[in-house]
Amino acid sequence: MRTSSRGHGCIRALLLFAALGLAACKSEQPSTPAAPIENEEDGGTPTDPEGPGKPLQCGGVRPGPQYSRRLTNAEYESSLQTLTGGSSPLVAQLPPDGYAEEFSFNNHASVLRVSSAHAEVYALVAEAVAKDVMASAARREKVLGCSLSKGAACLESFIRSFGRRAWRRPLTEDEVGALKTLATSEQDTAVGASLALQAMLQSPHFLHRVELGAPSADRPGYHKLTGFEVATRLSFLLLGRTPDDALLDLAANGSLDTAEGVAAAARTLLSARPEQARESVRTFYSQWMSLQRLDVVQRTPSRYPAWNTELRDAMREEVNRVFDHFIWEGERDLLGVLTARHTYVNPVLASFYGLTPPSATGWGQIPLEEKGTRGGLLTMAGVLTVTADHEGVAPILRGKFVRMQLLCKPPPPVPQSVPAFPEAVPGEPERQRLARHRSDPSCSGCHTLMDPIGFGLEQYDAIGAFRLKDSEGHPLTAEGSVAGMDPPDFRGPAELSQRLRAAPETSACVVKQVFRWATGRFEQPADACALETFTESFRASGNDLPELLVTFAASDAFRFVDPSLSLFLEAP
Amino acid sequence: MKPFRLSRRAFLRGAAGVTIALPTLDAMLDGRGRLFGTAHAQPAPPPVRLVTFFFPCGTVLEDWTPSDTGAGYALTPGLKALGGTQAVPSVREYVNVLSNLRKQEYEDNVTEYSAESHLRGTGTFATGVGVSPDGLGAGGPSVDQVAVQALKPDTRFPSLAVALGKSNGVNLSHISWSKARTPIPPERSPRALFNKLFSTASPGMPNAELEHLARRRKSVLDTVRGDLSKLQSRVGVNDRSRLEEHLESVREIERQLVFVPATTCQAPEAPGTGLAPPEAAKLMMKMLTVALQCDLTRVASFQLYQRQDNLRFPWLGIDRGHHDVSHDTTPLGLKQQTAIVAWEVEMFAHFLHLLRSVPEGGGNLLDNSLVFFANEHSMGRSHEYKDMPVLLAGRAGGQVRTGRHIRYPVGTPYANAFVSLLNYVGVPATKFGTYGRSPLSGLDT
Repeated sequence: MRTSSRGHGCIRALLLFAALGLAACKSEQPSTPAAPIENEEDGGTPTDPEGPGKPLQCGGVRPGPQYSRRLTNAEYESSLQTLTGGSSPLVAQLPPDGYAEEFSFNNHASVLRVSSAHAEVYALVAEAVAKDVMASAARREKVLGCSLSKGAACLESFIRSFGRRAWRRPLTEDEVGALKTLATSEQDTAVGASLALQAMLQSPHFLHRVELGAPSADRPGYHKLTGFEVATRLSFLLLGRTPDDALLDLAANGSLDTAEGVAAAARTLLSARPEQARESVRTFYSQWMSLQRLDVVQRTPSRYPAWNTELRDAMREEVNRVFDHFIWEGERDLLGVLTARHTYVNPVLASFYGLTPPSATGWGQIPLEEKGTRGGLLTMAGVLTVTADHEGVAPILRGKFVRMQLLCKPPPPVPQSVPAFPEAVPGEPERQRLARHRSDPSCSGCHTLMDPIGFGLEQYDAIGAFRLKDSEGHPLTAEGSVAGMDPPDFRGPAELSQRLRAAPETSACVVKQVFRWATGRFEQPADACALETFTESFRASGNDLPELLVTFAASDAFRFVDPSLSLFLEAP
Repeated sequence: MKPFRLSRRAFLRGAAGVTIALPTLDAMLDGRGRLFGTAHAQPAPPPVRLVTFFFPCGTVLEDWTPSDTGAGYALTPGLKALGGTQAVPSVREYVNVLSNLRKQEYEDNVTEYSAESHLRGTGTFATGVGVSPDGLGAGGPSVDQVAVQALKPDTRFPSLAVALGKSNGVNLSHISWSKARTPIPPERSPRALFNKLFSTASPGMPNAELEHLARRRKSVLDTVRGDLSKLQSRVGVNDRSRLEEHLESVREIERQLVFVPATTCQAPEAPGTGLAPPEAAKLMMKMLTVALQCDLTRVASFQLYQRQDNLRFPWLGIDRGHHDVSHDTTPLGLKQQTAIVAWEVEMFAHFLHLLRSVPEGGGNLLDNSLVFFANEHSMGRSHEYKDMPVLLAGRAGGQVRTGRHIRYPVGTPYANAFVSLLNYVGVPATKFGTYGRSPLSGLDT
């Protein structure tokens, strides 16, 4: 019984990609062992990876692999704050959480590791935090919950209560025993408590979100996560925080053992902690848009005199506000960011855009003219800047951005050796130089997929300023095309944005990106039905992102794991 | 001055920023630089040190490869610093220029996730195997870590990873890998490296108190290790490698935090912050030299920036980014690219000079070292890999004959160099990675 996107009345307005011949750049076929499975005609129905175009029996959402995830540096620090009432400046010495090349988020499970550099910082931080806690009556009370004058009884109750919070589950008797042994190895109960605290804050049970679950009776072959593991997932996904006592209590009384219970808890968290939820979801869209690159962008001052830290910060804030609006306010239609007819500016950004700021200081919303140069994601300076890596190759990178981040249609892998970029002929239009690049048969397979999209955005320079002529003085037409789109040609970002918004590929891609961020891994064939189901609900809800998170949380993909699946892709 | 008595527990790693100036310990050393009381009947030869040294974004190969071979080869524009600069006398007699080494592993495991050229270039710098096909890191351990795992040196640090440039991601920001997908995060500034090497728990803390601190740290870490060991047996296959790494990390920091072998080092002056690249590089290399000299470690890696830094070189009159320059094929672009490469070679020569200036055994530290200097690509503009720019410096305790340009047969595996390196440091390897099948010929004395 196949669930069809047609049956749910989703928008199939645009056949964006007709039979798209993805020619390899050279003769070799790229191997994509875990390429997202989509029948391109349908824009979203999963097909059998073995057979050509044969629809799967999508019998239901399947769980993903079983794996633990180390706390990200941000989660670690916020947990310290929540648990002990403070952190330590030493946390800044942790190696930064890294980005794998094609994974937009710095929370891939494989990248989150405990090297000796990490272990050393965790140890020194635990020592420093324990010292500060014991020196402050208020923090000592919060952490211990009893008076040390009561001796071993207080040590035990502290270990149990703090341990439950820190490890996000009740400790076993063996675990309590080991920590008691440690704590009572010292004459001085204060020292003993400090040692137990340090051990709990360095334990793998604190540093990793351990997920073991238990074999499931009603889903043979899968493990069902415990209520505490579900609570941990919910709290970190929706709020970026360690689960609080109330949520742990829900886990303890079985409320998180059903899909309905999880959905209800998810909704409660979102409505009770809107600020934390916004902060958490911001980590999704800001990385989806690679805004972190704004911190390392360099622009030659003589060519881009407007570029400075105030402008950079304003660009970032604009993207944040636009996304926040379409995610949390009004119709909650995330795809509205593409075609927004308003934006948010402060005087710096307004001046850069040539618009009148709504107030003399600070931020405000302004409407954007229909035929103006601004409106939607693809005209926002922040996005245009991070997709213009080195000056002159913006069309390639912007084309890659649209394909990778908005359509989830990666170009085939680059050829094994890249022929030299054609020498610039003085006075030659930028577009022509790149066209010569693409005429080389070993390059054209890829570049016909990327560059022409970026040409449609050529009227925005490497810091997103609008321009009618390129650096050589040639007029720019903003004529572009998307290979495989029907019809392929478009002119300017407004038209491209409309077509992207209407395309089924886009909503499917958004769901895929959210899925990656939420799970900390790439999707794989086993996720096909889950993605299909989530995409249908996402579309049916009008592209409501918070609702998508609730749908995900209530699904089998969230509450179960499949221990037979691998987290990693193997060599082709 | 009253002699300072070093307790074996006198050095505990502490919070960063607390440092002591270690006293000169000449009086404790015999004429051969060893601690009194540890003399053997026959002096043991100093261990061979191994350093890998990375520079990014390729070269202009035409300006790199000398046209003639042998000892008297004419220095090319890229290599000119080997012949000496104002600050550094010639080091060319200590260096072998190797050409025609083909890094075939660059082409392996290419998928949509792992295709990016610099990911592959950096990720195959010293591992001998294609990168992980999911783009999550190198495909195997780097040669420096293979050496560490085989030799298990009893030094304070099994190895030192050092880098300049911002960490931006997994693949481009690491050149030391302990196994597939498992990078070793480097120290990224002179100040961070200084603190790692020389900071202690508390200057003037009485030994009795240090004993308490060490004992407590050990107790805590033992409990943590207990948690890790028990958890290891329960987790699924996807977690095993990462938990194993976590456990290994806790074991390793126990050495730093609980017990540290005495050292005979004079700590250099604490460095400042916010230094320009040439000064930062020289300071990093100076501290690396001290660490090798004092046997704080015998294995190290140094990454001299990476593609994502898109470093500018105002002291060379180049005010646009390295990566932009490397893809500019105008005459100006090529000239600038070669100037950048020449500066990188100058930094390399500076490091060799620092090593050479340390007397050791009957010679110097460079006599007893191997420094492997290479780029991620051969040709910066096209990301080529078939004739990799490699310099091998140092004499490995007299095992290596240096001072020549050796042109190998076309297609000689690049990873053969790593077989040689392992053999010279005392690891009996016969292969390395996918293509390394024998040591490089012509290097032995």
